[in-house]
Formats: sequence, C-alpha cells, structure tokens
Amino acid sequence: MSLAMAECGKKVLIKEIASGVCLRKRLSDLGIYEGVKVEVVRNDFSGPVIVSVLDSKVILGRGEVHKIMVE
Amino acid sequence: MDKKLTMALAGNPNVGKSTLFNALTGSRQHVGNWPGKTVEKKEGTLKYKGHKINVVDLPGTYSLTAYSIEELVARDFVVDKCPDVVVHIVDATNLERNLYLAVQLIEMGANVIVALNMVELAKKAKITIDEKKIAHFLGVPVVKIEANKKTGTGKLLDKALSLTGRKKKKSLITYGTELEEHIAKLEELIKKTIKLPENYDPKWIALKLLENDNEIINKINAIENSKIIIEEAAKNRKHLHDVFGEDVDTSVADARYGFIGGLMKEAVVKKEVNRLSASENIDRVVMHRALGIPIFFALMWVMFNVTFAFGAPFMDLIDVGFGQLAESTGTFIENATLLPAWVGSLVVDGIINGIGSVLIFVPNIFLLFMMIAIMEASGYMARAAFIMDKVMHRVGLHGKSFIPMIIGFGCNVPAIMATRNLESEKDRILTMLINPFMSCSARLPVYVLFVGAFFSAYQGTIIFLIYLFGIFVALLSGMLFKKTLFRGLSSPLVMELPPYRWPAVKGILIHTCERSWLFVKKAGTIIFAIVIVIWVLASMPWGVEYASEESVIGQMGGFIAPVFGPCGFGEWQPAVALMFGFAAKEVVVGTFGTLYDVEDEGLGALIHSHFTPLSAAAFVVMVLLYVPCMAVVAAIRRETNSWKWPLFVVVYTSVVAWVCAVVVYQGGLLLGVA
Ligand SMILES: Nc1nc2c(ncn2[C@@H]2O[C@H](COP(=O)(O)OP(=O)(O)O)[C@@H](O)[C@H]2O)c(=O)[nH]1
Ligand SMILES: [Mg+2]
Repeated sequence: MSLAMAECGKKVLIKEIASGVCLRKRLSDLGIYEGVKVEVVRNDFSGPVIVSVLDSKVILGRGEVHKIMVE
Repeated sequence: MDKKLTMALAGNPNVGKSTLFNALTGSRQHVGNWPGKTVEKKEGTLKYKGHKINVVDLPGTYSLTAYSIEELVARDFVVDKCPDVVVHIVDATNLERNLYLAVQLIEMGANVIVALNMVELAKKAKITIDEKKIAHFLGVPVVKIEANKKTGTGKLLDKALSLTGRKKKKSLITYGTELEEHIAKLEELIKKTIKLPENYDPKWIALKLLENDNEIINKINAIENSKIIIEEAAKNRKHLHDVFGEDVDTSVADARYGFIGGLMKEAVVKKEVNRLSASENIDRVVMHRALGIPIFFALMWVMFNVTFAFGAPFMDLIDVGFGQLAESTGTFIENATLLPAWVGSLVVDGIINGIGSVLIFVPNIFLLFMMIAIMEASGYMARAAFIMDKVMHRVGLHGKSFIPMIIGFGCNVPAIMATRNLESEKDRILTMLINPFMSCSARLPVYVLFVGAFFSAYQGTIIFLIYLFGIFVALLSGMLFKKTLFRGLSSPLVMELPPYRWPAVKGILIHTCERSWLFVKKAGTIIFAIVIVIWVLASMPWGVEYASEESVIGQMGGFIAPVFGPCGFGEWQPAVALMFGFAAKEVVVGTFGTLYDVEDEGLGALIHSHFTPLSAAAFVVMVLLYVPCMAVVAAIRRETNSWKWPLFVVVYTSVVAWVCAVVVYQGGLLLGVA
C-alpha cells in the first residue's frame, strides 16, 4: 500500500520510494528512506500528509505520498 | 599572535544559527549579497582573545546535496570557500536527523565543531547526552551551548581557535566492502586523470559521483579530461544497483543513518515521556481541518488591528513633530530676508512635508514586520503553509509558496527573495508573478488615508478586506497562469514541520530594525529625490502657481488623467500620484500632500472633498493592484535573470488594476452608490 492510504497514528515501514533520485535524496535527508519506520501523524486522505520520523515531523505533499510504498 | 579566521555557521533550518550569530557578533554585522547571486549573506566580526573572527551565518540545509538556491549557497561556501572552521549547530532535541549533516561535513573534510544547541530543552525532554562520546565517535570537538542565553560560546570559540589547518581524518563510515572497493577505484582514477580544485577530497568526490549528485557531476564535468570519470562513475552506479537491488544513494543513506543510530545508542539516553506535547495541542487547533484557515485569517485580522492600535499614538507624535518642524522652519526662512521665497517652499512644502508624510508610517511598518518575524521564528509560518496547501494546489503551487506571499505583506522585495527557498524554477517564477498582489506595507498609507477619510469607524476591518482582496486576485491570477503559461505537474512538497519555539526577542528586534531601517533609508534617498523632482515639476514653468494645473506636473497629470476617467478619478492629481507611485508606493500619499495645498484642514479632509466614497474605493483598488514599485520590478529582473517576466508583471498588473477599478466604479454607479 502507499503512504497515501496509511491511517493516522499508524507506524509504518517504508518499503520503496518509487521516484526520481532527486526526491528520494531529499526524503533521505529528512530521515525518510527505504527500511525506516515512520509514524503517520496526520492524513486527511486529501491534502498533505504529516509523518513523524527521528523526533521531527515532515510534511509530504499528496503527490509524493503516492510514490512511497509502506507496510 | 593575531589570527584572522573565518567561521561558518552551518546547520539545519531552525536550529538557532541566527541566534548564535547574533549572540556572537552583536551589532557588528552586515547583510550583503553572495557574489553573483542575490541570496543575502550575513556576516559579522568578533574579537576574541586578540583574534579577529569573521562569522558567516549560512542558510539552513539538511544535507550537502542542494535543492534550492539557498542551500546551494550554503553548500558552495563550505565546499569551495573552505572556511577555517565550520560550526555545525545541532538541535539537541533532534540529534539523529541533525547529525546526518554533521557526518557529511566531516566526510567532506571540513574542520567541523559540533555545537549542541538547546541543551536545556533537551534536558526538559529527559534526553541525556554524553557529548564526549559523540566527540569520540565523530572525531571532532563537541560543545554544549544555549544560543539564546549565550552559554557555552566561550568554550566554542576556544575550540575554534585551537583547530588549525585541515588534517586528514580517518574515514568515518565504512560503506561495506563492495561499495568501498568501487569508491577506492574511482578515487584512484580521479587522482590519476584530473586535477581537482585544491580543497576537494578525491575520495569524497568519488562517493558523490556514485551517489549521483548532480551539482558535483556538473563541477567535475567542467574540469578537463573528466569525461572518462563521469562515464566510469555511471557504469559503477549501474553495477552497484544490480548487485544491491537499490541505488547507491539509498545504500549510502542507510549506512550513514546506521552509523548515527549506533552513536545514539552509545551516547544518548532518552526516557520515553508523555509524547503529547504542548506543540501538538496547539497544532490540533491551528491546523484543524475545518478551523485552520479561519484561524489563520483571524490571526491576520488581529495582526492588522494591532498594527493600527499600537501604531496610532506614535504616528500622532511623529505628525506633531513634523508639523512643528515645518512651522518653525517656515518662520525661520521667512525671517531670514537673504533667502529667496522659493527656498522656503522647497524646504517646507517639498522636503519636510514630503518626507514627513512617509516617515509617519514607520510605526505601522515596524509593527507589521515585527509580527511577520514572530510568525516566522515561532514556527507558525510552516503551519500556514500546511493549511494553505490545498488552496495553493488549485493554483498549481504548493503550501510552501504561501510563505513568500505572507512576507509580501511586509514588502514584496524580500518576498521575491524568499522564493529562493522553493525548489523548482517554475514554482519560483509563478510565485514571483502573483506576489505583487500581496499588499505591501508601502501601500498601507494610502488605505489609512482613504479609509480613514470615508469609513473611519471600521478601519481595521476594511483594510483587512483590502488585503484579502489582494490574496484573492493573486490566487485567481495563479490559476490563470497555471492554465496558460505554466502547465504541468506541481513540484514535490517535502518540508519540515518545526516544533513551536519562543522567538528570541533580540533576534526579532534585530530583524525588524533591519527591515524598518531599510524603509527609513529609502525615505531618505529615493523618496527624498522624488519629492524634490515633484517639487521642481510643480514649480515650473517659472512664475506659475505652485502645484497648479498649469505647472509641468499638472500638465503631465492632465495628459494621463483621461485614462482613469472610467475609474472615477479622472483629475490630474491622482494621475500624478499614481505615476510617482511606480517609483515607490510610499510617495502616493506624499504627492497628494504636495498637490492638494494642505493648510489646516489636513489631508483627510481634502481627500473628502476631491473624492466620493465610490471613487475612493476604486482608487484604493487601483493602488492595491497596479504596477509594483521599481524595486520589485528590479528584484524580479534579478531573480529571473531576464526582462521578460518583470515586463510581463508590469503590463499584467496594470491591466488587472485598471479593469478592477473600472468594475468597482461603474458597478457602484449602476447599483446607485454615490
Ligand atoms: N530554547 C531555545 N530556543 C532557541 C535557542 N536558540 C534558538 N532558539 C529558538 O529557535 C528558533 C530558531 O532560531 P534561529 O536562530 O532563527 O534558527 P536558524 O534558522 O538556524 O537561524 C528561534 O525561535 C529561537 O528563539 C536555544 O538555545 N534555546
Ligand atoms: Mg537563520
């Protein structure tokens, strides 16, 4: 499933980031990379998603969360 | 022995770089530009134990891979300019993510000192940090500081002075045999075939090439004989991808975070405390799905009302002060029989009244800039970006573009510069194009004057509505541009949501004073010059009554005035005011002051006799929307590096403003409003 479908409060494991190298690097700079666990803090199923990772929160646009596969 | 050294302050955004910079340099700082680029460069000097230290406050970055121009500047400074010391400021409450940059700085071969900031916050959050162990792991000095209380800065400086010259460090992280082999091979090839710039570590370059870092690839491409290296790197990248089933950049990130994770286990103890912090409680409210946007606008409304309520007494003071100055200067010149009468007119009508009518708004502008600075430093700005994201998407932008728009309320020039934070060129240009509709503080005097003259009871609310209308036109224009000029997908939104922090009073004041001072300086230079030009034009040809229709200025105004006939203000004075407003919007009110012979009744009363409520409304709409001032046009020219966009803005805003003003006036007439 993609991060876009993950519910609030769930801890999910990032399986794959299906995007270009640029976005993938950007995400890993903020602590989001394949194999890391993140907590979904906010997902309204429209608009951006907020995840919590490494003691910080990151806002991800709707278009981006579709490219992040989690379980 | 006297040493002169350069110390760069690097780190993630919002970790206290600027706070430390202010603590270290105090008032000995200046804002310049980075050569060739227009990103603000904050530099300051400091004397410590007989040494002169030049401190540079770099823009915040998360890594050494640059995405926005701002990050590029920070990266290039550390990589190319090779500062003697790089102080990497780290948020102690968010160590793991912050150290990712530290690891990269150290790998690059910079002389790093890690400054653990906000240690008191960390203590409160029950995080115990053993800085000696971290120093041992990283092989660089680690100092605990509290930037807003200036504690630990002495120790930090001592360490900085003791670090001299770059020394070869042993490698920090091992990336596994396979990858290491490839790095070593590429490193050898680099050493053999090309001549790297002095400060580049070949091993680091090899790693960066394998990581597919575009900027580094471009840099190497520019070197002679480098083609073979680029090709070899691409081949290796592909091979490694086949072996590991993932791209090299992912393996590298994995290894770095793995290393940091190990370090954290050894050096940091975290007691799980109740996670629901105050920050989260505030966010529940201000980022509420339904209430978020109304709360944002309510905050804006409060902001504008505060601007007027607290500004008013100071404005009165300045008004009285300038009135007295004009009076006593007038009498003085009249009594000094040697001076011709026109000197009195120049000094009193031209200079004192002209400058006075602009400087009177300093309190408003100070307060407005202060509140924007507080919004930025407290962390609310990122929330505004989040809640406006959906709206901004309709315009083809994302929430991050909303931040420059809010800054535009203060002044469009820094707002245009703030677009450097955006990653895609398309987003930057689109944000710049709609920014002039965000009503800047220089337009405020016009609203204050006109709304005060006709609708004084609801001043705060009406002015707030004017600002809203500006946002509305900006968004509508964005939508139009997206459908026509900028088709295609929006760029990715990835941004940190920082925790709320109490803004440092000193930082806010320094920032606000800087911006307000720019305004005063503008009043003293550009506006001063325009005031004199207006006075000269209003006095010529010789012998004509000052600022009458027969003067040169009157004739110029009379020439353009018919254009504004359909908008309801076809007299020559408003035409002149608008014309000079292109030089600086602050001048609009001052021009009225010169053109309508202000005696005792005051400018407000005069406006009342020259405008109807309806034509006043149309005029306000015109001032809100029409051509941004020259400084903004120049800023857009600089940032886009072409004349195309600034010219487009000039034409587009003029048309939109004229149409809107006509609609207001003619529509009002149709509805029977006088
Ligand atoms: N509690 C605490 N807050 C701090 C400290 N240093 C900075 N801050 C706050 O952190 C926020 C960001 O600081 P700033 O210097 O603008 O960060 P920069 O983006 O790295 O330049 C401001 O609101 C500061 O008041 C500190 O040592 N302790
Ligand atoms: Mg800063």
